[in-house]
Amino acid sequence: MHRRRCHTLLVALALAPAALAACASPGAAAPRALADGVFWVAGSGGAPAPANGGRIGNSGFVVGPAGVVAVDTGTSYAHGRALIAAIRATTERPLALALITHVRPEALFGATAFREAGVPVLMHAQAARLMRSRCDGCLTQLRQALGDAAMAGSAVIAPDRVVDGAATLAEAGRPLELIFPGHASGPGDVALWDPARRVLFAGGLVENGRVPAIDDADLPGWQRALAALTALQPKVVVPAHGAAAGPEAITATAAYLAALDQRARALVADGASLIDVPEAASLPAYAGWDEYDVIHRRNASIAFLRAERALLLGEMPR
Amino acid sequence: MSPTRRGGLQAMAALALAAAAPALRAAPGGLPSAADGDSSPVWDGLRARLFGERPIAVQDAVRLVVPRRAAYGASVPVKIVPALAQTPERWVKRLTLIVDLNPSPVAAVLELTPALGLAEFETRLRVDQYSHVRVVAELSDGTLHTDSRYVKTSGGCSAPPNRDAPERIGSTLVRLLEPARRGALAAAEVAVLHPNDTGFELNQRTLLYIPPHFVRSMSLRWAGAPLFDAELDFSISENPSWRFHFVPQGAGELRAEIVDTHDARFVGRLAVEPAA
Repeated sequence: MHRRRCHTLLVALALAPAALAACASPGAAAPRALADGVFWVAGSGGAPAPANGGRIGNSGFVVGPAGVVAVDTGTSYAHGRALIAAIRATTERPLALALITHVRPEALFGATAFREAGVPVLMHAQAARLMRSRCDGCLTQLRQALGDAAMAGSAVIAPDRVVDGAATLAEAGRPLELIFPGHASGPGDVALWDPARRVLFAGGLVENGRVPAIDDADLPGWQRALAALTALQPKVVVPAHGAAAGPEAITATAAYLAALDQRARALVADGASLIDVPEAASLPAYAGWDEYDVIHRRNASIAFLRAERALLLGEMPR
Repeated sequence: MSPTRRGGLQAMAALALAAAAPALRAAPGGLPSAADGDSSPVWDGLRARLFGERPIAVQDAVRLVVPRRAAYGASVPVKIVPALAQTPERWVKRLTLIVDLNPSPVAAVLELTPALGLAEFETRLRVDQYSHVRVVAELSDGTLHTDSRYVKTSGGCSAPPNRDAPERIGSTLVRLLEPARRGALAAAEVAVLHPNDTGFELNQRTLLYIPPHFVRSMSLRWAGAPLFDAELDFSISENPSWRFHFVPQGAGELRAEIVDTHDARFVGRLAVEPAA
């Protein structure tokens, strides 16, 4: 199936060397041009498993006159290596920077390969803190899910550069905007906006056809962030998982989060038991989304617990 | 009545029916019930220390309801369901709740009175890794009864407790889960805002461990008479919550007294006017 997809891509995009390199490794997708000099490397979606090598999340890169900025490094050292190879097969411009937009394993652990290649890794300071405090545990879980060989060489590394807020990145030789909307999908989640091409790498802020995880989220902040991303009027949005799409992916993410929050509050007001919440909070409209069975059930529990907390604080009618 | 409450009652009915079935069978929302041999090295050691050589029956006097796969490991709902009502002749006197593989396996010890009407409880546990969760019930006749479930949690990194409002720690809410009727079993809940810090979590800023700070005890009284006293540990989730029962014969006050490991004391109250 991957072979067929690779073949189609080869025919469609004629990115022969890069595509061949990527397609030689199962689960790795070839870079796809979204606009002039802007590429998306598709993840498989789903949960990390031996069949997908853990390559579940999207990556991408922007090629400017001065160099290349990579966005999200992959799940493992091997994944990071493959991404670097794909970038080098696409352009001769130097790899200048690797941006990690959010703290999920599929964005993080490929950073070890970028570091080895001498490419500085950039994160938001809050994202770096969250990663340091907990991601050794994520690495252990991934080794269990994928096997030690698949995760060989992967580690939690400290970023070479941190930002505390919005910034303009100059490494590509044309301005790229780093957007920090405050605590939204995560405390240090950022997006990369290419204003000239109107392409948005939304990182953890947007999902397409997949249930967004709310574990680290501030829901009101996330809704504000999504409104701000919509206001940019992007032509193309690269989500954390799922296909690159138009701005409707932002709207769909916002609609899901609103529906989840509303249901959780209603269940708390109703005196529902947490035991019943994963079923009682079902949202059939989203049942076809990737990872609905795992992430939505978990989200429902978390949203319910947060609504309970609001009740304890007197922020909800009793 | 809401669909979820009704679902709970159906589950209760199913449990009541299942009581007549053989010992090993699937229970609602759980793995097959504990059978002899459903043990672990940790449990063998704990059992000897807590209960000595006393026999522990694995029948249907008490039952544990836990999701087969917990959606969220930081807050795994568990329900303790007794097969007998609390009567002055025979009642559940003590409940011990255990998570075999947690750093602090004994999560809760509850001392109960017949005034509960029914020794059914629901709370949430932190389940660190796949583990047996157990309940041991001691009845007023001195007999011990147990049930256990093997709990799997869905992967993912648990978010740390919310510490946004430290000045609000101890905010306590006592509420009824349905309107109370005079002389009938009423369902209530007590919940307290508390991070219930385990001492095993790194501060993201300093990378020093956050010291343990959790709710240590909880006492519930109805109209001045004790319902239950709970000794608790940090295996209980953030914002500890307990659902329980009582039998209001007239108007009165539900009162919760809560103490944490800093010796801070919190009180929650609810005036109850049961309908005739």
